[in-house]
Amino acid sequence: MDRRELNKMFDALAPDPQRERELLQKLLQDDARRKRPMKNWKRVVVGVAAAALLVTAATAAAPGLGERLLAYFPAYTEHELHEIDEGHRTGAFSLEDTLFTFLEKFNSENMEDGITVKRENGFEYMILSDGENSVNVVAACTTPGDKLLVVMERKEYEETTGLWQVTAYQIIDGKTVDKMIEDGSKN
Amino acid sequence: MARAALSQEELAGLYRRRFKMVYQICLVLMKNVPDAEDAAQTVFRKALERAEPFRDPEHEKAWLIVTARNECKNQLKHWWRTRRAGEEALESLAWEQPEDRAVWDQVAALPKPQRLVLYLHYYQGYATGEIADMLAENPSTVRSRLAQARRKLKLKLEEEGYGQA
Repeated sequence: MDRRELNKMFDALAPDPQRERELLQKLLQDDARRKRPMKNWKRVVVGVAAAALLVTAATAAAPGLGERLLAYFPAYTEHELHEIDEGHRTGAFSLEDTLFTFLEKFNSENMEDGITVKRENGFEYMILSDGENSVNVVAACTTPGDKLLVVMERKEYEETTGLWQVTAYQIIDGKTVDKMIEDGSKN
Repeated sequence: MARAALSQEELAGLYRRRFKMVYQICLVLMKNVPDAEDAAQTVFRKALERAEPFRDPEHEKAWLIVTARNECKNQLKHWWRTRRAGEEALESLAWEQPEDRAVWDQVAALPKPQRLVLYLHYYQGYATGEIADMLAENPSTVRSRLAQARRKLKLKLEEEGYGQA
């Protein structure tokens, strides 16, 4: 092998121009989103207020869920916490079926404006906490650094072992996820 | 005096100047497109967060190289990657020329530090001393990595009959 052959191969590793433009566009959009004219303290107030309201609603809908939301959702994030009173309509007896269907719908229905879950050879996800009737999952998003935190609950359903449903979700950042894992591993 | 963040035009300019190089480094180290894209985007986000302007184009280039190397190292040891299923399915690049694939297969089999030195020396044209300064490595270590890479590539290619008439 000579230098010319080696460099020809490195040349072929160059990004596709169309993909490069798409990635630049994403970067610029992320940057614009971060620079939105909103003071940091306002963001915190909005985040906490949204969490408080939703926790109240969740407590009314399902006793005990409020505490779990407080335990698993960070106090502050740019993105709103979405709580689903009766569970998302993608309920199923299999936890994985419920999760994957929800993630598909999250993307197809643009449930968080401009943010989608990464889907390349399947979803990338990790189970943060695995209880008998409550599971918290985090999935990678296409925007670097963003993760989707999904809370799933198993609800009683006639004479079955229960129906898994998504009861809340929120976009959070990778550092927060790392912190949650770190805290979880200490418990 | 505090520096204002990069404007969108400045960011776009930096991206157009350097994305190809940053992406190539990330691909050489990560060996798959989705992770290389993630790492390259993170490098440019970090460039946005820099408090100080680059001194000159060479400083800009060197900073991006080192940051790309560090980002890939971090991602490769990250929990997300270590728990992800189907890794081998991602490690396939599309090649238009079969001979490029043959060369890549040989290069991809080298250890990461050797791959990076090979790219920086042959493709970017850095001398081993410059690479050592940039990556904060001992010059003899860099020379040794380059020599090992050259030796392994030549031996492997001969074994597989590469370039024979």
